[in-house]
Amino acid sequence: MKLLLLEDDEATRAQAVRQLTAAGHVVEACGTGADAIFLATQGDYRVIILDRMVPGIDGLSVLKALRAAGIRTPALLLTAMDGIDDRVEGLEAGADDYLVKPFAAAELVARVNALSRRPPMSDTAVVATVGDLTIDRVKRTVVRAGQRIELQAQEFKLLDYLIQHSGEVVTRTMLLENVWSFHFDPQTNVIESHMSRLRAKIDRGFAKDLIQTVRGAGYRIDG
Amino acid sequence: MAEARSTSQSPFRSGAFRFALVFAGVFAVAALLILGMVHHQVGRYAHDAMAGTLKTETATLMAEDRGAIAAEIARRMQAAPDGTFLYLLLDPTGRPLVGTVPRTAARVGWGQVIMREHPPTPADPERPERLVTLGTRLADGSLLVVATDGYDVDKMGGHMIRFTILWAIAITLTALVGGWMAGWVFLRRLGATNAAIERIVSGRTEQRLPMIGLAPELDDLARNINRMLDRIDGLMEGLRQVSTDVAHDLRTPLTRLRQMLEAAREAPGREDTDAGIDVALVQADKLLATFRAILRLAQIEGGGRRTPFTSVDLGGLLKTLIETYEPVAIDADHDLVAVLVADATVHGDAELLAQLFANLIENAIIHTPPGTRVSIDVTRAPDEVSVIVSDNGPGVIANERERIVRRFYQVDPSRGSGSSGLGLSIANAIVTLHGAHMAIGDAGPGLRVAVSFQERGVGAAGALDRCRDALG
Repeated sequence: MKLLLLEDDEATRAQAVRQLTAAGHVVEACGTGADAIFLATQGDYRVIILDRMVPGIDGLSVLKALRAAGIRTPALLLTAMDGIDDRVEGLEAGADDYLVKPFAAAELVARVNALSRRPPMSDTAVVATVGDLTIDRVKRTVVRAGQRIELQAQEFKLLDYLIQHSGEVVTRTMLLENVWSFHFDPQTNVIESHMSRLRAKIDRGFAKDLIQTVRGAGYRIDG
Repeated sequence: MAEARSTSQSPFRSGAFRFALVFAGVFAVAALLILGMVHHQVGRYAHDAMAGTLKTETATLMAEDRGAIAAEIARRMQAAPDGTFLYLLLDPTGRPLVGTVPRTAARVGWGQVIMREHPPTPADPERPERLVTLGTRLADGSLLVVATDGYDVDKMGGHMIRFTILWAIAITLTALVGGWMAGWVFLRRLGATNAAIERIVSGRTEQRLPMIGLAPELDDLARNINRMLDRIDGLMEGLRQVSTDVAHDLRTPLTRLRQMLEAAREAPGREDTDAGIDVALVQADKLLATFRAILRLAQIEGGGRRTPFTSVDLGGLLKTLIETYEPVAIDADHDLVAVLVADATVHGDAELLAQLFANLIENAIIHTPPGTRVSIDVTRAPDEVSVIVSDNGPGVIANERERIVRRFYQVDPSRGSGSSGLGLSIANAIVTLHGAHMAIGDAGPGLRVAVSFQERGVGAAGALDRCRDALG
C-alpha cells in the first residue's frame, strides 16, 4: 500500500519511513507542502500523513487544498501540540485522524493501518462476526459459539471497536479516544480494567482467545 | 524613567486648570440663566405693581363728585409736588383744566409719554422721564389721565442687571477656584496612582495601586487594576514555579531512565537487554505523558482561543465516567458510589469537564488505601450546580489542602504514587476556565473536593421557579 508522508524534519522522516516500510507499506516522503500537494494530486495513495508544522505551506493548508480539490484520501495529521483546538481545527480541515508527537512506531503504524483499510461492511453492518463470535449492533447482543454473552455498555463499545478493526492492532490511545472520548492520559488502568472484564466474558471457557495483547503496541481481535 | 507628566508643566495646561475652566464655564452659563430669569420675573412684577397703583389712584379720584375732581387734583398736586402721580384733566371739548402731564398723553387706556419736567441738576443730570399713563373717560365726557414715572422700575432694572453681572462673575470665579481645587485634588490622587504604576513598571511587581478615593467608581477602577495585577503576578509566579518544578521533578525519572539504559547495555543476554529496554521505554513514555500534561495545563491556563462552550449535561457525563471508573475502582479495591441529579446542566467544554472529573475520581482512587469509599454527589441549588467528589480515606491535613493543587505536589514525596502530580493542577485550571469554584475540604474523615458552577441559564430558570413559588 502506497503512503504519502509530509515531514520537514529529516531524522523524523527517515525514522517514519523505516517504521512504515517495516510494517509493509510503500512510502513516498517529501519535505514541503508544495511537493505534498503535487504528489497527492498525481499519485494514488491509500493514506496521506501530514506534519502540521512545516515551513511554507503547512500540513493543515495542504490538507485544505487537497480537500478543496476533491481528493478524499484518508489523512493523518501529525502535530507537536496536544491542543483541543488544534485537534478540532485539524478534523474540521478534513483530517481523518490526529497523532501527537512524539509517538511510538507502533502507534503510527496502527493508525495508518486503521485508515488505509477501506471501511468494510463490518463497520456499518448490523451484524458483525469474528471467528465464532457475533455481535448485533442494533439489538446490542453478543453470541459466541451459540452462547449468549451479557456485556456492559462500555464493554460492548470496546468490543465493537475491536471488531471494526479486527485483525489490526489498536493502540491504547486509539481506544481511549474512540471508545471513551478521552483526549488525555488517564492515571489509572482504565483500559486494562475494562479489557480484563471483556476478556473474562468473551474468552474465558472457550478454547481460543479472540483478544490478543500485542506487546508494546496494544490489542488485536482475531477470528 | 519619565517624570510625572502634565501636572508639573505649565499650570494653565494642567488637567486641573482645564477641569476648572470647563467647570467655571458651565457655572457662568448657569448663573446667567438663573439671574436673567430672576431679572425678568422681578421686572414684570414691578411693572404690574405700578399699573395697580395707577388704577387705584384713578379709582380714588373718580370716587369724588364730578365737579370736585379738578379741585382734588389741584389739592394733591399742591400737597406733594414731587409725588408719585402726575395728573391731567381735560374737559369734554379737550381743553386742559388742571394737571402737568403733556397733552400728547391725552388718550383713553394705557400709554407712555416722555417728559422733561425738571431742569437738569448736577446730582440728577438731565434725563428724560418716561411716564406711564392711564386715561379714563368720565361720565360727562371729560378725560382723566393719571401718570406715574417708570423711574423706580427702571432703576430697579438697572440694579438687577448690575447685580446679575456681579453675581455671574463671582460665581464663575468661585467655580474656577473650586474646579481648580477639585481638579487638583483629583489629579494629585491620579498622580499617586501613576507613581505606583511607574514603580510597578520599574520592576516592583508586588506594588499595588492606592485607592483613588472621591468616587466608588474610581476605587473600583483601582481595585480592578489591582486584581489584574494579581492575576498577572499569579501567572508570572506560575511560570517561574513551573520551570523550577519541571527541572526538579523530571530529574529523578530521567536519572532512572539513564540507569535503566545503562543496566540494559550491561545485561548479560540478549533477552535481558530487550527486557531492560522495554522497562526504559515505559519510563520514557511516562516522561512524555508528564510533558503532555504540562503542555495541556499551560494551554488550559492560558485560555486563548477556545472551542466554544456548549450546554453540558453533567449528570450524563458523570454517569459515563462512573461506568468507566467502576471497574478501575473495583480492581483497586475501592467502592465507587454516586448520587446524581437529572437536571444538572452547565455551560462548558464537555471534553475538559470529563477530564476534570476523571482527574478528581482518579485522584481519590490513587491516593487512598484499599477499602476506601469514593463518593460522587451532584447537588443543585437554584442557581448553582455542585459536584462533590469525596473519600473516606486518610485525607489531607488542613494546611496542606491549599497546596495539593500545585504542580507536582505530592502529599508524601517519599511514596511515589505513579501519578504525574499534575492531575489536580489541571482540574483546577479547568475549573478556573469555566468560571467555577473548587473548594478542597475535610470529608471527616477523608478529602472532599467540591466544584461549584454558577449557572446563568439555570439561574434564570431558578428565578422563574422562585417567582412561581412566590405566586403560589
